[in-house]
Amino acid sequence: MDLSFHEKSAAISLLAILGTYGYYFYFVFLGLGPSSTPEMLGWMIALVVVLVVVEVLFHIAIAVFNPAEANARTDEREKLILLKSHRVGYLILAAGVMLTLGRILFGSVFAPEEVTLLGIANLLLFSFVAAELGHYGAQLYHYRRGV
Amino acid sequence: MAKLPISNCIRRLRFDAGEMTQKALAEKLGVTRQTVIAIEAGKYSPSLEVAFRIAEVFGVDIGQVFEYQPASAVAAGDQEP
Repeated sequence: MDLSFHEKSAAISLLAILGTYGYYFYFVFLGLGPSSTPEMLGWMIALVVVLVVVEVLFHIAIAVFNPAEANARTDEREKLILLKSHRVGYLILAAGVMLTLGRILFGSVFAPEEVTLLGIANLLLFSFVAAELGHYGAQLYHYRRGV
Repeated sequence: MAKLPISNCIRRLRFDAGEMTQKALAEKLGVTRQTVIAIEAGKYSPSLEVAFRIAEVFGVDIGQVFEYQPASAVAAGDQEP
């Protein structure tokens, strides 16, 4: 398969996010995630560090194998793909924010004991992760199937 | 992804230009090789600027590189076995 640097970069980011935050949400959905916001902060710092290290290492690896492509500027097709994929990410994030807002407003009226800071933080984080996955997924789709 | 209404003969023009590679054409146009591949395969319609530059590279008129097929013709072509 013939992939450009930016396509490989999108695939790396997609897999890295899926791996790190997938790991976190696996524990959250099993009920084994953080039990307080300070504990969640610890998780977040660890996940961001792992994500950055993984992304940097893999990006260096693909840049070493093809430095010319890594240094090439983004062309018009890639810019169009980025615009379209950002739109997908935005829509998912907006839906997630509305869902979170609904959870806060309706939850505080009908079941206030179930609305916790930790739950809201997890819902927002999930929205952000889903938006990023949608963004990179849309990029890969357009790189493969056309714009 | 729906078939684009613009077809091209860049593959033949590259052949006529001494088997110019996609990479060489991409470098002349200032785009990635994957973008040239996508244009040739009809998966991407380039901007007017790049379309003119392609014609310039091969020394032909833009109409000799790209051909517009009305939506009805594309739909009919899709239904053919």
